[in-house]
Amino acid sequence: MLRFTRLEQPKTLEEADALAKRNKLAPLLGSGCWLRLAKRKWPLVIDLSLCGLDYIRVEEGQLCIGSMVTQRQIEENEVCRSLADGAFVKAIHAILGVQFRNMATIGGSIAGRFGFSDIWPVFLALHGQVVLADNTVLSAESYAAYRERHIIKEIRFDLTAPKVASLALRKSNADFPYITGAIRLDNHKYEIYIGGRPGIATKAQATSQIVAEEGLDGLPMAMDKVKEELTFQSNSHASESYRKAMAAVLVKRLVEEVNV
Amino acid sequence: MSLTLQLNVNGQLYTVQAAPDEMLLTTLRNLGLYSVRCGCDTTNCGLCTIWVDGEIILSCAYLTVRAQGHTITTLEGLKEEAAFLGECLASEGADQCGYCTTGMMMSVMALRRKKAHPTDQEIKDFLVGNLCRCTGYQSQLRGIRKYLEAMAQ
Repeated sequence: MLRFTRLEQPKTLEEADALAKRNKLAPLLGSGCWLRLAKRKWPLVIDLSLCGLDYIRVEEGQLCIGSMVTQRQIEENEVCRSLADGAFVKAIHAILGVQFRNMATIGGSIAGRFGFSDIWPVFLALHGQVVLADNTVLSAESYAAYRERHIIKEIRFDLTAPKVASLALRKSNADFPYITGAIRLDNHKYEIYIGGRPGIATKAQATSQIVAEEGLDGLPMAMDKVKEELTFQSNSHASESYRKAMAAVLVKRLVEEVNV
Repeated sequence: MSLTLQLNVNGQLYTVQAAPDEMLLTTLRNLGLYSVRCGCDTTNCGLCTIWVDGEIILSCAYLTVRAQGHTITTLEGLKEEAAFLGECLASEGADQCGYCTTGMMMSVMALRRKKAHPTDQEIKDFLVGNLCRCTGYQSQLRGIRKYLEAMAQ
């Protein structure tokens, strides 16, 4: 378990940001769902739960979700439910149980950049944005590689999202997925993202290109391409070879689903 | 260093001493609320399910310090309704070792408040975070259905 002797609970984002800059090593606490799985002891932890980041609002055609909004709040919000015909909420709905989703925050899910994340592939496919405490706006792809210390203020999506579909394969219901994926179809242009390799979701560039150029006829070629284009590894959930085989299946299912 | 906290649990105000990293599960059990059980201790099994402001959460990963200013409910605070739900579950053989039952009951009673007439799929979706190693879930589903139908009348 993550242990700490002092907890700061700043009341504003500015206060939290200043604290985080003064205490460069202090962990930032979002939902705290993984506290039990950590093993370190820290002198100080900064809790973001009282910073007023639990809002969902629409501004200038964009859906803005505060980083401390829980996954369950997103599931139950009408605007979030309608985003990309429910593709975003569908990805969230698959995560563990209701209790967990009542605690887990969207900021924690994005900041964690977990390979097994159900949210990351669809976040990428929706061309989501991350807004940091200093109002820097990063695309989902840029944020995936961002390594500076930061606090997420909110995430944003264009409400006029094109067709997006997401799928994940898991050994049993509510388990962590061993492979995840999402697809975006925007004016005959496909973007396919595969996660749980077990690395963070990333775009399968060449695979997407094949599907865009060849359409459904190019599916067998795309299914082969994804296996060689991306890096797959083994862990306790699946072997490298199994992940490769399932990634091919996932590409097929994603293309079929987005074309329904 | 321990903190002095005010907690509203089952309608009663408690003053407790808790370390900054203490989880609500520990605090509640220290208050003698033994319906809140520790199972996996890693947010997977649902045994430690309680309500915070009417929403089900896992007390094994909820910091006690965060519970200040919120309304905490455990099974002890829902005695009569819990007794009836317990009868419904027992009548369908939905109880073997019984260890998971208290957490599952908290989820079922929360579901009823959100949706009085859920479908079987909605019940399963809502209870996916409550694991049971004994019953195979079908008897639980029958018992829950019996409880929901009786409460809706």
